[in-house]
Amino acid sequence: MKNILVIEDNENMLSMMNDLLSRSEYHVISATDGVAGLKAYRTAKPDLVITDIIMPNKEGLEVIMDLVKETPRLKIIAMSGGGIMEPRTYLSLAEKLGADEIIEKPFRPADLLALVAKLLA
Amino acid sequence: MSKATILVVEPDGDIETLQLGDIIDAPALQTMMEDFHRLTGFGIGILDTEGKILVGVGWQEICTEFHRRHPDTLQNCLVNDVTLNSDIPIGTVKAYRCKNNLWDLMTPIEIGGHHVGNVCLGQFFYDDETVDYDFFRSQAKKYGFDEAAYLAALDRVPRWSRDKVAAAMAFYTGLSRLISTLSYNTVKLSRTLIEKDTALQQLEENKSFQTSLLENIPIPVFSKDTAGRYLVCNSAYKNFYGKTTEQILGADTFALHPPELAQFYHNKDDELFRTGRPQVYETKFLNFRGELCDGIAHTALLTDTDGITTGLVGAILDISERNRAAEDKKKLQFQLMQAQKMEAIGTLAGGIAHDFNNILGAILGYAEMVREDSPVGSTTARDLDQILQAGNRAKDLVKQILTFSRQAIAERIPLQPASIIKETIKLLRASLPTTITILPAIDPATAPILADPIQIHQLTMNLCTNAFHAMEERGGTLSISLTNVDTPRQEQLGRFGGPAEKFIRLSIKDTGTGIPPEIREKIFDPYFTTKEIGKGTGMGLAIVHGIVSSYGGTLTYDSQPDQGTTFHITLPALTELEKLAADTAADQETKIPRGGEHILFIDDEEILVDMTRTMLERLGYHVTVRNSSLEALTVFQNQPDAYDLVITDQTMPGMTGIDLARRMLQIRPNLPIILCTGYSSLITEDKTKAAGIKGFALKPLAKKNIAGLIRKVLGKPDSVK
Repeated sequence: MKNILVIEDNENMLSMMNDLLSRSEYHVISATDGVAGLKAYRTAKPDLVITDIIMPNKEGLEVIMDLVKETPRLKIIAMSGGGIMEPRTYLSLAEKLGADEIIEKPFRPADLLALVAKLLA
Repeated sequence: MSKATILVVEPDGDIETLQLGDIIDAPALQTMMEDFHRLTGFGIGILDTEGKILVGVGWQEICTEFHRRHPDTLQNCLVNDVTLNSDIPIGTVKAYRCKNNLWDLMTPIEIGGHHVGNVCLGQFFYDDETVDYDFFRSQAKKYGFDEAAYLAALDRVPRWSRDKVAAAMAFYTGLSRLISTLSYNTVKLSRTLIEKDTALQQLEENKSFQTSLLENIPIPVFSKDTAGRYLVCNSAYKNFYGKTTEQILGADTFALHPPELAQFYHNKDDELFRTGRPQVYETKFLNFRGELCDGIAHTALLTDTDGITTGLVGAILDISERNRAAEDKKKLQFQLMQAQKMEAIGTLAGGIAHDFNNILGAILGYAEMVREDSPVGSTTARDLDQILQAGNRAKDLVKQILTFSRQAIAERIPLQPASIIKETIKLLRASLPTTITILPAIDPATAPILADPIQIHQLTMNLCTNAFHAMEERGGTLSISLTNVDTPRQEQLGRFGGPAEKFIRLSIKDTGTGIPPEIREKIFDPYFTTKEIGKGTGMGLAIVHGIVSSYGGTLTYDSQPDQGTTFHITLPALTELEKLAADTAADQETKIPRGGEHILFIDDEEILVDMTRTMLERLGYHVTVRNSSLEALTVFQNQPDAYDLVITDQTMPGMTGIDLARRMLQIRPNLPIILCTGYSSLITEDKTKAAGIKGFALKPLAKKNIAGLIRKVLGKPDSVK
């Protein structure tokens, strides 16, 4: 069973993703901000990290940079629902910083599962 | 000038102070009296109240050659004159034997109730008395007169009977009074005439003043008689109506004004004549251009000196300009309010979008998961489809809101609107039902504009979608026209901020239901929708309005219930200057301000540091980079004047960006610093400002934004090429 770390500050979203991925036979570790996410990563060493961008304590872009620094070949999916700027602005930066895949919120569960499956294949 | 003349011409002079000499023509009277003396032998004297002899005839030799020649006997004479002159009651005669032993009789002359002089008859003896020769002989001796000559003169002194003296006295008194009264009346008459002349002159002056006043005031003024015929009108009045004096004077209200207005004025005039109360009322006027103007009429009764009404006077105050200004102000206030609303919505939008997308993500995610687990065709599956449909609509709404908030950062490029509109029409043809006929009228020569193509597409789509909804039930025609407008309507001129002289107009016309009057004020409000749930977000027109306003254009519409609505968008065309700028600056890069200053950049994230360094160097800056705040502080302390600007990240181990900035500012208080933070940081722009930091930037740093901010913080807006 593959391990996936989900870093997401919105509880509903986190819960949904947890359920979605668990049902698809993945083991999910969750964290609700960037700092907690990095800590969880170091402990659990998951196969894939899915991270939100705008979060308290440490935002997703910084998390991605830290992760890439620590494990250059780590699989990362960045997700965003936008903020002051459109989601794609944040996501294109995330891609430049090392995210393998990006997805705009809200997304269809099937779309996310497809990305996950692709990266973990 | 005689005193009488002075008193006559000087209105303030008191006619009562006139002396007898001022009134009578003494020389003429003297001649007359001399003739009379030759006829009757009576001598006469007329004296004023001060004893001055005005007329004197029949002087006796004994007086002129003797008594009045010797100082002592002259003294006797003068004593006589004064004694006789005073205190004689009006209407009485005072008889007095003078100190030289001759008779003198005196009676006062009274004019207008005042004692003005005396008539004097003297130097005689009564025929019934004996002359005292001894007295005269002793006089001759005493004063050295030639006695023989003196006594001979004495013998020539007339001797009259008492009756004759009384009759003569009565005659002279009457004559004097008559002449004096006549003269006095003449003076009074002259004075009255002069007063009349003065009054006439004043009248003329007043008339001339009134005429200049009337002709020069810019307010139309008129007067009418009681039958409503024009008596007077000034130039302003003639100019206002564009008519001549001949056309106006004598004409009545109905001959000059359109029937409805004339009837109204006529009724108001009637009311004035009936009540007598001055009127002030607001009304319409048809001016010389045939324009209906707003005005205020002031009318009041015209009366003669006896208070009898002879007509009315009136003035018209044209308040069209004032009303127009008030209307413009109202419109501007409305626009301002609209702009403020939009701005508030824009600010809100970003925050809403972020939270909503998360919430929707969970809702849609779960719904879809359950949906997949539900048996095909089950009630649960159908219900979940409804949830998913509603959720997706909400997702679209968030997108619309984001689009709305993004307007401010839209990329404007010179573009030809005709091609975009044509593309949009293609899309519409594919999506609209056949019950809607599309009639395009696109002028391919429409002038280029400076705009974001996506926004032009969006506003066209929004308006066309609304038009479609208005015709959805019955079908209809959607007309889309795009043309050049060289002279925009007058009321639009003031609203365009830029120097544009040419405009383009996009009109979208439907034959649908029209906009009900009661909702017209709300149609541009965000979230206002007449559509049933799911059909519209209420953002369409608000977005169109926002886009058009941000381009310095106008959005107007005409709407008739059940006939349809036409929206007109007028946008400024590219000016020659803008075209030139657009041509020479084909590369967007050249629009970004550059510089050559020395920047100290601090960030602990290596990847970001490299990215930012490259970006700043491409903008022309000399960049020194440090990965830690402590290291950066050391470098700065060694050479505080080596750097023109510091750009630092906030979140760094050891010392935060704001603390580093504080330390640096202690060393160089005016140092320009830009602090960069992530979106989730607790540091706000206010906090950085309070710390003396001049710039605040949100990460990730966009090239265009940071380039502009650097120039702003350095206080050098002009870039160094």
